[in-house]
Amino acid sequence: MAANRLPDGIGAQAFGAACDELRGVVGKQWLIRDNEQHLNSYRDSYTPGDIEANAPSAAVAPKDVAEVQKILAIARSYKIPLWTVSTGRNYGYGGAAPRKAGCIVLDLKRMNRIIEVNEKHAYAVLEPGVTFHELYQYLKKRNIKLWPDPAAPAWGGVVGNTADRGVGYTPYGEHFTVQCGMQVVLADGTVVETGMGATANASTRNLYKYGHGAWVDGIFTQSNFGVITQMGVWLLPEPPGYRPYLVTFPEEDDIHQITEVVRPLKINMLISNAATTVGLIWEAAVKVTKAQYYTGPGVMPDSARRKMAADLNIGNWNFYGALYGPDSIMDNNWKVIKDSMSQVPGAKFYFAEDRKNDTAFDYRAKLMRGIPNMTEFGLLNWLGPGSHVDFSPMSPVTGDGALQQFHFMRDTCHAHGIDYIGEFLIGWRDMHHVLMLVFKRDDEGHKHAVNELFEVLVNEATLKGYGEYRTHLDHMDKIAGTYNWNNRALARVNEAIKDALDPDGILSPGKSGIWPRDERKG
Amino acid sequence: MTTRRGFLISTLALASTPVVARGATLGTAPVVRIITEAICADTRNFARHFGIHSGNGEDSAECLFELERELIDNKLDRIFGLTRASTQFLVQQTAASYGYQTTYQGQHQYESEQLTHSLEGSRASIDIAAKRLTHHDGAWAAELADAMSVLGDSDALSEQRVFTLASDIPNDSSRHLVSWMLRSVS
Repeated sequence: MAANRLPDGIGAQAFGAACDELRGVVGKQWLIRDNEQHLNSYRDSYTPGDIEANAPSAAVAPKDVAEVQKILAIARSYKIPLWTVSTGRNYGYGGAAPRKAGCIVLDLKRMNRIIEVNEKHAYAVLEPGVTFHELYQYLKKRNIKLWPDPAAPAWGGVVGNTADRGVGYTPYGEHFTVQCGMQVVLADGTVVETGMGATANASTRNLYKYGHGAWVDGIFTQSNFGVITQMGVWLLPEPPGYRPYLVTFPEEDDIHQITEVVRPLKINMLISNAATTVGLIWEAAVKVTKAQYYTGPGVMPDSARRKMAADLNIGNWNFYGALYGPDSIMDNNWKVIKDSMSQVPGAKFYFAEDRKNDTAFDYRAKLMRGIPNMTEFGLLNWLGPGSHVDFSPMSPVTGDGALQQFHFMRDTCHAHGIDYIGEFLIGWRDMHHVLMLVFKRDDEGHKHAVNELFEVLVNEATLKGYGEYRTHLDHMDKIAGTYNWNNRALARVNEAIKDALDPDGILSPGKSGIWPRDERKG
Repeated sequence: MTTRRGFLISTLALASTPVVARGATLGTAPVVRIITEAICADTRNFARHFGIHSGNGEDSAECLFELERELIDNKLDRIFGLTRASTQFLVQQTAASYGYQTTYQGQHQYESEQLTHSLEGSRASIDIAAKRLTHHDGAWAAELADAMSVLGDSDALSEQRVFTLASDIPNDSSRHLVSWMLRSVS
């Protein structure tokens, strides 16, 4: 049971004493150890593996930087590892659960102040507990004409998502690109301001990212070198006009031509937002379930796929983008975009008025306009009570690359009896190819198949030169191991930083494959 | 007695309303929030039982965050729902942080002109619910809604009852729904 788990090498008595000290810092209510159900919210209920492998020993929720510093001091004193989360809603990648069983979860959800919104310069300064929903509501209630750039689930934390290099769908898209200024507490309790924030009376802390000298913000993302306690994020000024659109394409192999058409439009910023090319099942599954079209074993046959596509009036690929700006600019951009995409045989074009009461269009239109929502979770009903892990390799924005990656991922999925549910998120010069591996939560055989499939996908992708940008707890070591050029030179840099900044190894051991000195293998 | 406090609903959004469980004495009656979705005839039957109607087109996120505010304010004794499994997960995860746990859950699956109910909970509660679901006139979701008080008495997922009935599959059915009761244990 989670309540009885202890950190490695820590006896029950010492752990109890440490918990007493932590309780003294945060108050009884915010040290969670004995209420099993509450602690269960810090376990990875979506895992396809063994839930005990990532079970925490306790969770502690500080309210401010001073409490974070005191918690770190206690962790150092007892050599108890902490696992930092902002809101812990990163399901599919592990939720709030630690990489290593027995860690105490350092839950920053109570640090949820929106410290500043600057309408003139279009930025916000946030604590890590602020969700996309809360930021959106804050702006809306005050009639501030700035948009956040939400990830698909509204309950995700802005800071945590940015630190994990998540993406949104407005013109800003890649969250870390629009991050500016950070406050970090190091393992020894030192509070660091990065970039311009390190100057006295900083007037450009959240306006210019880099300051002077080495720029360190990046080392605090997807890592375990410090605890981010504040972050500046740029917000998008509300444009004078907004028109979301959908273009459907009939054939699977159209992904080649779609991608070739999209690249110049994106690079030249005629497609100005983080657009997506969405596969058939991803698009359909927020509206229907597999059982409505196919109840046999294995993957959905082509005949059922075509029937579903026809019923829902969607394509094998579905491109979502949006136009922003005054009508004259939107009209001109649309003419170029439509002309270009019309080169793909069978392309069909839709605006909002053509897709009324269409759940999939509605939630995409909201996301591209900065409105957080929870609709995408509906995808997980595809097989009944479902969970997912995501395989997310990067792809160049080329037809050959997209088609090769799609073929290999689809065919590998199908060989394991699992439907391909994927989408391409189009960034500045890349595509995040997100494959959602949906499985039945109560089916051990299905979980096993997904785990086996994941291994094959990673190995094959590595051989083909595709690295993953983000992964589930259980696969962090494996993915980190693929970044091994020149005798693990990058990994050795990470380890040197870890040893210098966190010699006791108390911060998030194993995050992104970065382990403290004593726990490194090989 | 139903005390509606507005509801939030759209095609896939949650609809919810707090009610006082019937049969309880005034003053000690547990406050129950009902959560459902306007996705098919079954969930609409469930909603209708509590007087919930299609509303103002808000996203399910609104309902979820409203629920969280109520949990923070410690206003609810139970949360009762008939939804898709993904929505159950969202509510469970939200409520778990405030000391709520699942004390009853049911799966309702259509397949090959049959409807299989799989109920888990305390023996007395699921026996009564199973009996009512076996003898319904097609509107099983309304029977389930009417059994809220007995399902609210369930305190653990200790027993299971599985039974299959002949049934047409409603045209708009997603084939699979879940019902559930969360109770505060803190």
